[in-house]
Amino acid sequence: MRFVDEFRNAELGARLADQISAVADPSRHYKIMEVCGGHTHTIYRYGVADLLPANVELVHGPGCPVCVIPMGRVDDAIAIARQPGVILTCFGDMMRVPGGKGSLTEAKAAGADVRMVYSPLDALRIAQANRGREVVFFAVGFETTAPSTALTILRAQAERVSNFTVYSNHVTIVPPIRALLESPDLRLDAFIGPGHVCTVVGARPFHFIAAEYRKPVVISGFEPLDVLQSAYMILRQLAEGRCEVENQYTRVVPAEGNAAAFRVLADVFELRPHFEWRGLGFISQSALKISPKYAMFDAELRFSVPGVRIADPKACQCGEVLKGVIKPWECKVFGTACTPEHPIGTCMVSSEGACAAYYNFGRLTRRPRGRPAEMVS
Amino acid sequence: MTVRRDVDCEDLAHCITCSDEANRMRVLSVDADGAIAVCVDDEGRQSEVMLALTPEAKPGVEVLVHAGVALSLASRVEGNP
Repeated sequence: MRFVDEFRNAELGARLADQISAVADPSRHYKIMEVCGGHTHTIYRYGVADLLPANVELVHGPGCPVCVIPMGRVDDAIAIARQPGVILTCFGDMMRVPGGKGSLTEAKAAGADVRMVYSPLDALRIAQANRGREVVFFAVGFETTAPSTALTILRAQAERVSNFTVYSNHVTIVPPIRALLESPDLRLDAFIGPGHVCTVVGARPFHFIAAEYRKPVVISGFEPLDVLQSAYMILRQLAEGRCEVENQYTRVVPAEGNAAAFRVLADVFELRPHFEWRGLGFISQSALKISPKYAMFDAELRFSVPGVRIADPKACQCGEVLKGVIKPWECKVFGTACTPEHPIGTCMVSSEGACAAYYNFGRLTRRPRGRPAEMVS
Repeated sequence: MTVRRDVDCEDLAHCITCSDEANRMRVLSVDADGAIAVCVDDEGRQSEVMLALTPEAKPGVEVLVHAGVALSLASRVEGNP
């Protein structure tokens, strides 16, 4: 398939791996954070890390939108779902995320009307088909997903759908990156930038990482060769003493982003003063709430939301995993008490979560280095 | 119009909307006001897609879809491996 097979070509991958080994300084240890959970998934699924030299370490960042939702917000969603007449809709991964009092799947089993959808538009269609019910969309995601929610709200307004609201948990990617860069227990050399967030916001929001913190950023695609080429571009920058924002994913990402998406986001949302991130605590101006102009679509105004705050389980080390301080297999409960079937932490729930990705594709022991079996030749 | 995807969000592949990742789809048809298209992915699965961010998308064009919105044309420039 065009634009896919060529980016999974094993021969090209081996050649890139050789180039990476040639440009990496053997006397130095490199830590490169992939911000996006989609990259984490690719790295484990295709064994990208196994192709890198031992001194080039990939660190998994906070870019899984499901993984960063705090337990209290899940409990609030369950509280909304339990209200009479409500249909709560959400993406599939959110249904299994554990809150303090169970997950949405468990709430559904106990009688709440919780339905999985593939887009906010699907939720709007459910509202149009159930005029006597209140349909709430549990919105999660970064700048990649927020335009879809915003456009759906505009569509609900245009089509005069009054029984549709959104419980917004949309977050923005730059504030947590800045928080990570300010974290004293973190040492990173560079970032693999989130390719699809950049289709919306462009490259400009990431320039501060190079300018203020002197760390290279390479915006990357999601196929295995994209990630390998991005690692090579980063190592080349470091070898040449450069700190720039480069775009590996030029076939998709325009440098300036999508102006129409900016406009719709600015119209429908406004920044929250602060928002709690799982494992990272409260981060200023890191999340989106629905603008007062569209208050009639704000579930937090229409329903009684408890505003629960719950500390993360003590045994769970999702916070350290999300900050890249520890690897998934270094967590005390990884693969024992915490598995995809019975997750304790959110990193084990979503397929984009570092723990689930490692568990599903790496299992419980580190794989020996070698050629990944899933690459096509 | 009945368009439905049969993606299992709990399998090891990406759910089309759960992640921060977009899927390549081809536009099959566009509604009268150009707002919503029916798109198909490489496995033949169809879904409704909003075109507000890519008004230039027409039938036959490939778009990058995330959460029911076409974020970008899928091949803005040629690939680079």
